Amino acid sequence: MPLTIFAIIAVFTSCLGLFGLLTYIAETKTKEIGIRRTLGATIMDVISMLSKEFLVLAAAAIVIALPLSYYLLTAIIVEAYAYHISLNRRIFGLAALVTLLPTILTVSGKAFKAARANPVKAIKTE
Amino acid sequence: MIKITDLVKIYRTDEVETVALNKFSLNVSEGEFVAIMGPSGCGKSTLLNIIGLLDEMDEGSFLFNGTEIAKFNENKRSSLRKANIGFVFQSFNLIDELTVFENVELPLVYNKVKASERKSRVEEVLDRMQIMHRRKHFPQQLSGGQQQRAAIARAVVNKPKLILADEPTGNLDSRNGAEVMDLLTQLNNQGTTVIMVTHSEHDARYAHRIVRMLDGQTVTEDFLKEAAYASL
Repeated sequence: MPLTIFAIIAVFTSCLGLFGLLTYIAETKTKEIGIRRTLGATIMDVISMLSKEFLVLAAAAIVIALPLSYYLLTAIIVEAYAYHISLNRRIFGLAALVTLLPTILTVSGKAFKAARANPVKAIKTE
Repeated sequence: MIKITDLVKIYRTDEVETVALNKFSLNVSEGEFVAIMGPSGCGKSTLLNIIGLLDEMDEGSFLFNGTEIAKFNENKRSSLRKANIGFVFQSFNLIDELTVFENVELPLVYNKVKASERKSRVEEVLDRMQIMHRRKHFPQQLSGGQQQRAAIARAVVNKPKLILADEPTGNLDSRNGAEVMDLLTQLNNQGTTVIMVTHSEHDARYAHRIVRMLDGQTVTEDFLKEAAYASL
């Protein structure tokens, strides 16, 4: 039970980190978004541009993390504990989902807000 | 080409209402080169943003090529903008993460021009602006004059009917400034309508007509010369 709580806290903390990073990146891109809007990008163009970038990052993270975690989990859990859970695909799939879902939610929310902002204000910031 | 009648634009914050444009009217014919002058805060930039379909207006009528756009929503304004209007800013507004080539290419990307055609059009315009040798550089690696030429290249690459310039020489020395003004004049001679906001009396002399503004209204208009292509 205590382990579960720690696991939840760990996932929650990493989501917070992700949220912070996304907020920061969207903020630094305000001017670029404004310029692109001025040049004819639609709100959808901007959302897909921002989302694509972040989802590629998230996908890359998963590609790196999955084999690594599989290796560590087999090395630690399977070797060190006599009684342990069996590792199956569902666990890894769930882990990927737990990472992706907040990313998608945050990105689309942030991207929509950034895209909707008045481009005049964005291009004025110097 | 542009017929603005009784345009009102008010900026509201929680406590203050600022009237940026107060029953402002302006007509610009196709092929004209108009300079807009006036002290800071007189509404010049607001006007340019509304003409550029970047900002909304509160009251009045705005005919663009005969179409009333006062009630246009963002999507309609966006598609009208990308097909017809090029922007040149004081601070260049190039995207730092993209090369000169990619910056100039952007309007074509958003106008869904094919990649092969994009390449030839971008190269043609970079050649014309004499920054072809800089196409793979990033904006930070360029001088101010070159950055503004890149920005002008980006503004004209889609062959817009109207170029809006907001103090295009404001961040340039006089030599580079004169070059930019010559470029704008050239474009105008080829038939592009140019509307330029400026603080510089010298730059305004390049135009056919100077509109002087104060407190959101036109105070005087000076007609300097006949527009070569102007037609009402």
